[in-house]
Amino acid sequence: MSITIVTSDNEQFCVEKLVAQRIALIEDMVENAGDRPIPLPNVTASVLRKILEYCEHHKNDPLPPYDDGSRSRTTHISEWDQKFITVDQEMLFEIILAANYLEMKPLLYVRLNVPRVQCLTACNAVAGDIGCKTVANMIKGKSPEEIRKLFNIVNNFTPEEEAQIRKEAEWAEDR
Amino acid sequence: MSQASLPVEIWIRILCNLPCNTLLGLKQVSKTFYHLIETDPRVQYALQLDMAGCEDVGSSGKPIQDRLNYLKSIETSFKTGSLLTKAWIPINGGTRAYELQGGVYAQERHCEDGNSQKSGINVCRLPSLLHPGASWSLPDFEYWLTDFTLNPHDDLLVTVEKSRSSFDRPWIILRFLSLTDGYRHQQSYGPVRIQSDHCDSRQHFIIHIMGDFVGLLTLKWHFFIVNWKTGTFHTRSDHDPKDPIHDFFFLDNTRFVLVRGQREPPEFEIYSFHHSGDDRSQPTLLAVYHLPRTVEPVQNITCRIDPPSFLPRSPGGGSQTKFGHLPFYPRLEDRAIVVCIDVNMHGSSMSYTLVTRASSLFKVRNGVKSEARGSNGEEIPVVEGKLWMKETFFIHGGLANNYSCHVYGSRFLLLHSTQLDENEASPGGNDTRIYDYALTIADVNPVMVAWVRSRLASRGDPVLAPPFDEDEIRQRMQQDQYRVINSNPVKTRCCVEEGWTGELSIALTTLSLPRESVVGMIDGERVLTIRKDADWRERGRTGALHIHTHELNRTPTIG
Repeated sequence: MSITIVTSDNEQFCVEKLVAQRIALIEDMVENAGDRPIPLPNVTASVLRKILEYCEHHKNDPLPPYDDGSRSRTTHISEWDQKFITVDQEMLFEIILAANYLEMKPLLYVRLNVPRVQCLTACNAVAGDIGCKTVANMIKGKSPEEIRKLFNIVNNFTPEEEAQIRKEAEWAEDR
Repeated sequence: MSQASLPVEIWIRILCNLPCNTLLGLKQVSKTFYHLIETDPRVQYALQLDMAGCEDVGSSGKPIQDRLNYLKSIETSFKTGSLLTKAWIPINGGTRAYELQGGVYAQERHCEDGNSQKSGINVCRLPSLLHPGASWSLPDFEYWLTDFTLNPHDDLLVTVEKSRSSFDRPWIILRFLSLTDGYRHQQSYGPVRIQSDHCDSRQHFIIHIMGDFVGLLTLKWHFFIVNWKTGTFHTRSDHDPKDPIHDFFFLDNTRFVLVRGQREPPEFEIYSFHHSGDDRSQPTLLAVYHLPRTVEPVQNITCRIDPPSFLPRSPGGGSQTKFGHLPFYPRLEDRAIVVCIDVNMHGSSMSYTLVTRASSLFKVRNGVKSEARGSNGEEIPVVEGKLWMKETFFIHGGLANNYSCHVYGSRFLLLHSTQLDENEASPGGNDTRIYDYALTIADVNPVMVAWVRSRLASRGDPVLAPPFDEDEIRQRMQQDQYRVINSNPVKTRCCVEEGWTGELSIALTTLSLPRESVVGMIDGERVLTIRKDADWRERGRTGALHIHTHELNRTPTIG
């Protein structure tokens, strides 16, 4: 059985139900939509294609092994996911936004140690989604100036303010 | 693309994944980031947790703002040493065994009633934000208690007794009781008996709980791990007089460490054990770590480490127990391991202290040689001293001896005394010497070390540089509340063969204490001291347990 999805740029996608079910928002909409196509006015075709690629790969995912908490707090991402998320920054942000809109928690969060249903409700607290972890990894180890360049951020501190904040944080560097 | 293209909610999730030094750097990027990191409780909580070397238990159900306030209050107090004495509890009768776990203090009581000897346990849930505090006495046991330990998260009390019937060889019996009423724990399989071939004169065993598992080492004779819910033995090893086990500890719920003191050099053996229900296979040796090689034989090695005896993320776990527990716990890899090595040197005992972080035993290293040590002759990585000694702090002398070192997470307590007068201890045992006591909180958390360093640097106060001796440390610590100490190869009177170079730094915060303090203990939110009465000896060791804790009133009550 398949479901038809229409993107914001009016492209139609015919998606296997098993794949579409990885997307919580669509799963909710399917029940009310009947045979009509499901509109996704916030997602473009290029982004949806990427997201469906992810769903297709993970459609038969078993429950991942139990996380006993002994892992260090690293932002680990599996090899396939790593390759999948290796995109330019614009696409990365688009995927994060779309996953957020589509309530795709596994793509947003990598806290896969709970069943998906629980994931939807319980993971709203602290968790690392693949996208967010990727952005976090981009930030790690960079100087404030490099981060500004990376995200096109304007430094709106006065030199005095900046010096003050730098002084406060000095002790935590080089450790 | 600008930062505005992602909603604030998503930025918060991104920031929550970052370590504290990156977050502190990010504050300099723009006013928006500064504001977000300074004001959002989720980001602040992630920042404070990382700085404290802690993790959230994940399912405490407490509002994040409360968890943040609680953590801040506790950390500030430990950092500044402003742990005020909040309460004291009288101690009567001979205290033989005591234990502090998860905010619950328990001590053994015993009395002789005519012909029969009786023992029991008094329990005290120490007051905290999560619990008003309560004390109760468990009913007398029908047996003579040898040792005990507890895990308040599971309402578990484990008692050890030795029994000897005239028909039989001696037994060691472990009972799994409810900490609330002293009767059999509902989830327990029942008492576990171990037949003992050897008459063991030791009064105290080494016993640790890790979730469903209880590990017991009886004076180098037997070591085993048993699942207290199923009664299944997961490992059992008999005594080898040539290769005794001096101590053991759990790293987490799948790994434990055996300390082999008679080997040259002494070794840590790291094992993994299977914890699935009926698996009775022997544990697998994962790696071997060399300890400093000594010239003369090692007398004893004792290790201090305080793993959370619960598993915060276990299924169904982490919910609040009736005792209440902190919504965060020390990160496993940041815990301090304090190893005390006693060496027999020309008839007298010399002590060495080695401190390391648990993460040093988790790492995969390059240049590690392999030896055929596995049970089936498979190659096991052997980490020589030179490969990991830089991650240790090594010092000549008992920086921590059996009675004065208590560990919680990355912190451990040093209770040390300086003799103030010249009186000798009289042969009759009546000690009239006057001591000055100092209690020092030592911390191996690198953030704390960096923080203390910066404080000292801002005052132009140099970090203690080697060589130094213990007296100097004590003197200088008394002048100032904060120190950072670095270790160096100790050369004088040294009986350690190779030049063991430790580079781990330890931050010290000193609290001054009345001289009657004899025992110091630490847990996630307080320091406990036992202060003896003036007639401590005459009246059968009476005294009081003093609770030094953070400013409870400044933080909101967590319901």
